[in-house]
Amino acid sequence: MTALAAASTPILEAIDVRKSFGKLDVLKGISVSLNKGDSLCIMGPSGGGKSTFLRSINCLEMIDSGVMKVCGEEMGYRMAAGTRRRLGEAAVARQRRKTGMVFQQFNLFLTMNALDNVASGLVHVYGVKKEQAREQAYEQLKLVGIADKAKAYPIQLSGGQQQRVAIARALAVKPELMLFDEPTSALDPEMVQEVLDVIYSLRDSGMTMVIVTHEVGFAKKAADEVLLIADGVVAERTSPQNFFENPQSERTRQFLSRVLH
Amino acid sequence: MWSWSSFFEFLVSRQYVSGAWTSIWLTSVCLIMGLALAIVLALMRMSNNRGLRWPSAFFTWLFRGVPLLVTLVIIYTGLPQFGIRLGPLAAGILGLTLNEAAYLSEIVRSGILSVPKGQYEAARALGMTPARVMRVVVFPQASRIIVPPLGNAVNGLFKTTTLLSVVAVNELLRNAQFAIQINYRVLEGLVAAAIYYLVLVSIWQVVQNYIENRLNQSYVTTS
Repeated sequence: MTALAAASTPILEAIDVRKSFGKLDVLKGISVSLNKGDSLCIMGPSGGGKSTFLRSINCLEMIDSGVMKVCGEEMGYRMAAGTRRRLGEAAVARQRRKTGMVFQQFNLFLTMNALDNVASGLVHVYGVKKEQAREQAYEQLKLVGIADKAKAYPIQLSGGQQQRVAIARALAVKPELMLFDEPTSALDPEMVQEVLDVIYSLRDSGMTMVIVTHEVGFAKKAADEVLLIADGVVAERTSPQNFFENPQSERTRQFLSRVLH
Repeated sequence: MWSWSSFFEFLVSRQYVSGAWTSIWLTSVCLIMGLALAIVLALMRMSNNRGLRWPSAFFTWLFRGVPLLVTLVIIYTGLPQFGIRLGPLAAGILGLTLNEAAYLSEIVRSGILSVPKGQYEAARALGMTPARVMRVVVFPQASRIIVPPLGNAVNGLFKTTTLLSVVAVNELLRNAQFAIQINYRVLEGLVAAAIYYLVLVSIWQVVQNYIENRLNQSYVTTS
């Protein structure tokens, strides 16, 4: 691949992605691409398929049809002798290294302190020696402003602190693409800002991000583009300014009339 | 009349000490092998594959349903009809291990089921392989749920080793019975044996409390 081609390969490329749970069609053909350094906020009504789409990027949900590529590599499948084959869980695990994910409920490992949570990817995915991994993890904790809590267990941390540790854990393994699944929805209002500040600085550092969120102010500030997913399809994709001030799609206007009071 | 001197003689006799030692290592061996088998059974039981799930369910059903005494006698005196001859120790360990595994597999399974789905997802999202996810994230959390009932099971297992006296394993109770036949001090001999069991179970209780506290360390809210 030439340097030019490499530069233009999107970090994320979804082509006609479809997924159903039983008889319920959740994703009905979603196509999205995202270039390096861009941040995309996904908004939309509950049950519209936002989270399912996000989770299918790193194969936490397996899609039924379509193609999901991260850094040009198809997630969950490989081509062998001209046929497309589904990868085993261990091979998918290797693909997931390119993505980092932050969850609504933080999901810090409960038996590990903050430092070991952040070091866990380095140790258990990359095989880095524990001491060395802890040093790197400590630096990562500094970046999210929580190094003083390195020895604290998740249960001893506030929601905002836990979410910052969770972001540090995802960043520690140097992913190409960060996925945020409603990162502030489970937080008390006074803790939302500290988490948003971390995400803003991440965007400023050039991280490629996909963020599912309900926070209008956050989407305005963090996103290069906003995508509305409703009823399993992309209703609109545009700049935050256009999205909130001059939406083109009727579905977006409906959504905004409920969100912006 | 109660004889203190016979009682103390029993208490310090070599037969009692060696019998107690046999009971202890039998418990340890059957616990370790039973637990290993139980983990396999529990994972099989939770598999999506019917070919794994059903044999596990059948095993558990069988060994929880048949009294251990019956299992032991079948293994020791029944299997030789098929040319399978096991010595008393091998037969005892086999029966006790199979029986224990059936019970422990349900304890292990409930522990694994107690781990929230989000913990698996976070580990998978980091890129851990399924085996890593289990070893690094799931088992450490499950063990906190598993240890209290497991401790009970160890207590029960230790006392259940007395059943091996029927297949001629020289554990504590059988040795006590031999010792009693020398001077017919039945009560003194059995009370001395009971004291051995009580003391050893109490020591185990202390160990178990220590393990439980260790496992709860990360769940204490004040640092």
